[in-house]
Amino acid sequence: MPLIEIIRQAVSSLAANKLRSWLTLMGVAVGVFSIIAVMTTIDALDRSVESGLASLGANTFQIQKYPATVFGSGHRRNIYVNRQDITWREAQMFRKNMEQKARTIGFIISSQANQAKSGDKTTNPDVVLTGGDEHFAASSGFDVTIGRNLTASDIQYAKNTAILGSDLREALFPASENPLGKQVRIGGEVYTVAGVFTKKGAAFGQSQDNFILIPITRYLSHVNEKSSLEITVEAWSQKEYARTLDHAIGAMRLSRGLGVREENDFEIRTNESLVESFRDIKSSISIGAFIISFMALLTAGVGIMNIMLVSVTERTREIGIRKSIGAPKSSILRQFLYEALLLSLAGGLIGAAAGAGAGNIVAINLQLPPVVPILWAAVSMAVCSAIGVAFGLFPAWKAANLNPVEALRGK
Amino acid sequence: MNDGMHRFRYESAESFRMALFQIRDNKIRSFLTALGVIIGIVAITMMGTAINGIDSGFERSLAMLGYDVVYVQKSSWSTMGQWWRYRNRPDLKTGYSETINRIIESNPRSELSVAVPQISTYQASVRYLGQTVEQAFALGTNEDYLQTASGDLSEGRFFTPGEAASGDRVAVIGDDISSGLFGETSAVGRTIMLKNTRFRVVGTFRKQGKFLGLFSFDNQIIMPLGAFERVYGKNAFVTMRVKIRDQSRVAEAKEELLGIMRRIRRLAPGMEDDFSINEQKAFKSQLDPIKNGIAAAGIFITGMSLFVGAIGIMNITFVSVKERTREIGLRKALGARRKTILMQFLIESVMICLIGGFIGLLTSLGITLAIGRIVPDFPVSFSLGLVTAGLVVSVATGIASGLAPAVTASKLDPADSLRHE
Amino acid sequence: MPSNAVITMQSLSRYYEMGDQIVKALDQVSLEFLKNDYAAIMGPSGSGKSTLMNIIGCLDTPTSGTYDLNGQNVADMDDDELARIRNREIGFVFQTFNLLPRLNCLQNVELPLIYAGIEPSERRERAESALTRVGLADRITHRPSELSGGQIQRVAIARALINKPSIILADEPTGNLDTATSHDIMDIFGELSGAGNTIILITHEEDIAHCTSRIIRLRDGKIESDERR
Repeated sequence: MPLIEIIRQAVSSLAANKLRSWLTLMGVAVGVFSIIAVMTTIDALDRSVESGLASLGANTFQIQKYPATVFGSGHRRNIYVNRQDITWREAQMFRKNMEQKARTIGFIISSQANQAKSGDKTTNPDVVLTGGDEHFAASSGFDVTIGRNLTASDIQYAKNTAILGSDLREALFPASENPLGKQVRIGGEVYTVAGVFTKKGAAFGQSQDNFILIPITRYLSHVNEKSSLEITVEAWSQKEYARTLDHAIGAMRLSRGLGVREENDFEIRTNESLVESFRDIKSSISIGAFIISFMALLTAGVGIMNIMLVSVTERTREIGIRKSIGAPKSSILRQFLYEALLLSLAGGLIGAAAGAGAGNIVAINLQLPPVVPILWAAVSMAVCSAIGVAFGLFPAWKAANLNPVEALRGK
Repeated sequence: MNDGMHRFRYESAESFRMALFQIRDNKIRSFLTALGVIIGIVAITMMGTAINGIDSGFERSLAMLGYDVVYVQKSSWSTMGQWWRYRNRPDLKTGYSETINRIIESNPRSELSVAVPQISTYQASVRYLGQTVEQAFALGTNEDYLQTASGDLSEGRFFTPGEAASGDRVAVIGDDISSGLFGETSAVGRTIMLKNTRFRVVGTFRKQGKFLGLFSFDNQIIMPLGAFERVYGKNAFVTMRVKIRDQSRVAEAKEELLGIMRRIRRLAPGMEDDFSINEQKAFKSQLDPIKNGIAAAGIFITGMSLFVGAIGIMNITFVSVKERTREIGLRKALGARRKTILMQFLIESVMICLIGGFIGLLTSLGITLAIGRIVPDFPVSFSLGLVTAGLVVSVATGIASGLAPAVTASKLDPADSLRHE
Repeated sequence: MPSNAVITMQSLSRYYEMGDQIVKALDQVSLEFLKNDYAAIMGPSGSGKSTLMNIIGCLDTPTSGTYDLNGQNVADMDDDELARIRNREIGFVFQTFNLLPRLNCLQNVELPLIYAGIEPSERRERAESALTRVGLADRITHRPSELSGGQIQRVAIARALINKPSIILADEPTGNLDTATSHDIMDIFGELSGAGNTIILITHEEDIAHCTSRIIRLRDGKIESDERR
């Protein structure tokens, strides 16, 4: 019997018991829904953290005066109080020494906890005032949505231009208002808005968009001349990472004018361990969530088997008739198998669509970028087919092996 | 009324018997239907067990901070995100502890027991010959420290009041540091280097583990205050560890300490506190939402498999109603009322769910015991509450999934049903 | 209305909607059954005899007209009241699927008493005596699958008798039986009639109908003839 005919028969016998077929299909749909919804949420979370890590990701490291914050606040800075600040001059020298040896090199100075004002609007005192150069956007993974980025001339002449992070723009200006050319007051200085960055979203639950970028030279001349720069270096690749790190230490020592026997008077901060431990956590959560949500699909499979067994019992006579007019075993087997497969695949499709929707609703509520879980959808479809076959096989086998004489006599 | 009660009892007994027959005569079908519930209950109880485990893990971590110790610090643990509020507070001084202790002694009814100063840095690096341990937690304190801290000495001793008073360069080190520097060999009596100062190790702590998996209690180096200040300066982070007498009266103790601290800081009435008194509860209130979030997500996901199981039961009960249409007709002809038929099918689905629930709980218990044997550290706990919850959930599932088919059955027209098929 | 009427039906009709057509299964039927009547209702298929039997048995309610059973107007009762009437006033014997296959004879016969709320020891006593009455005292623990067709019908009759109903309603009780067994069953009905029971049979077999004392013939939802002998 041609495939299309078998499928047509499967559809019509499923349609004959609509309630039953729907319930069975819903079981699979809910099972797939739970897998897809969970995995979509995890993927979205993952993207968010990855993008949070991207600027300080696996291929980047920072050079700064003080070691990384581990726990608590600024008390321990005093230990390093005798260290010299990393200056703009040193940073520029560093860039020259590192030319072609790294993908990007960015400089930042920032001060936390500033209040920004524009017109009658004032923000919480949690705005980050960042001094950077024209390379800041690229090295930190920001794009400009409206207006422009900082330019070399902004830096050269230490102009009072500013680019706003998207959260700050929302806090200071109504959506209808064009912020370009407007004045923003922060840290006792007034800046003219030249551009706005795209939203990057939160990383580790912390907004990355609540900042204002001004020329680093302006920062050093007007905000705080005694601040130390933070240099972010991105290696060409993970393979080059160790070599780039060595180059950078060398270049930095050179810029700082350290003697051969002197210890480094700066800190290198790498994110490897952070990225690694996050990946560990993520993969164990993924595996756990997959196993747990897979249970629902397993239950749905059991439901398919059960209902297919009922179907075989009810259609004993039909099977008898088919056999008596010469249907081979394989045709009966395939007929029931296709029914099971059809149920699980249709349920899988519905569940995947609903799950992707629900997962993305969660993602959007958590302010994460939406994702299309193609991989998980594909996995679910494969799993559904496997489940349809695995749980449909026994009933189908039972049907195929019915004795035609007894089957005809059955009710 | 009494008559009705009797009838209800007899009808229930009959329905119960019929349910048993039905399960016995459809073994494969009943097993597969129950399997749906079994999987669901296993998933839920395992999740519940895991959540209990996380919970007791949290508890264990919080216990490290001590239930009877409060911490006077510059900033509050419970509003760490808003650190700008604490930025302008004056630093604490280690000398406060003496003042506090004097006040405690002068008040025989004090809720407080003793105040211990602590000055610390997370950025210590310890050297021994060629070995270095970075980012150790160096802590200067006095001889009363152990009264306010968890952890036992595995070897050696803590430093003496004399050593504390003269600021001798002696140190008691955590397990990670001693194993990092000395491996299996004893650390006591060795000389370690902090910056360029030599310290003699006089004791080591037993391994304690990490606080919430974040902060290890095993990389501490504890030394007399004077010694710490000589190496790291006076401006490091100061904490007053204050032990209280009765851990059921934390609130009163905090109130008293607040008064003492305000006196020390000379704060006029109406002025805001310029310090914070912290206790482990602050972490609890921060962690609880996270924990509840995990629990809610977990229960939701596992609930899904039970939901699928319930759909399966509903489906099979609909099949059963269809197959037994004539039986329903006959019963109605013999005087069964709607409620009787409804109850009969409900009892059937509830029974399957209960059987599934029992098997599921037994399976979970087995898995829990197995995990407990293989990974003794894994925090799992199987509670009576979980069993009760599992059974209640099973019954609820049975009712929820059996209701629609049972109502369908009860509404069947007797004349049509008798003629069915 | 004579005082010994068990059933009084006046201009009773039952219509069914079949698509946009109305089928008059019963059309203005008026009938009366007296206490101790032994009647057969006959008619070709589609004549309305099944509908009449469903209404007499309170399995269905008329579209219009009145139906008094022992002085109670049944036509307007709700489902649960009808269930009570079926339980107390009517004893059914069907052509097929008379017994629940999973229960033994005794349990099958006890079933109406469970719905009546009778306590277990009395149930058992009454069920045993009913089975004895139909000659099956030695089969009380047998399952339906272990009984012959005639024995199954006798169990059904025992069950029909158990609540001392006002009428015994038998729908083709001999339809599935051979001639000899049919006559055995009809003998039991005869005995029961002699003992004062009201019995209504539905049948299409003339010789069965002729065992009774009254034959009502239906055609196209109307009474064609009603003769007492």
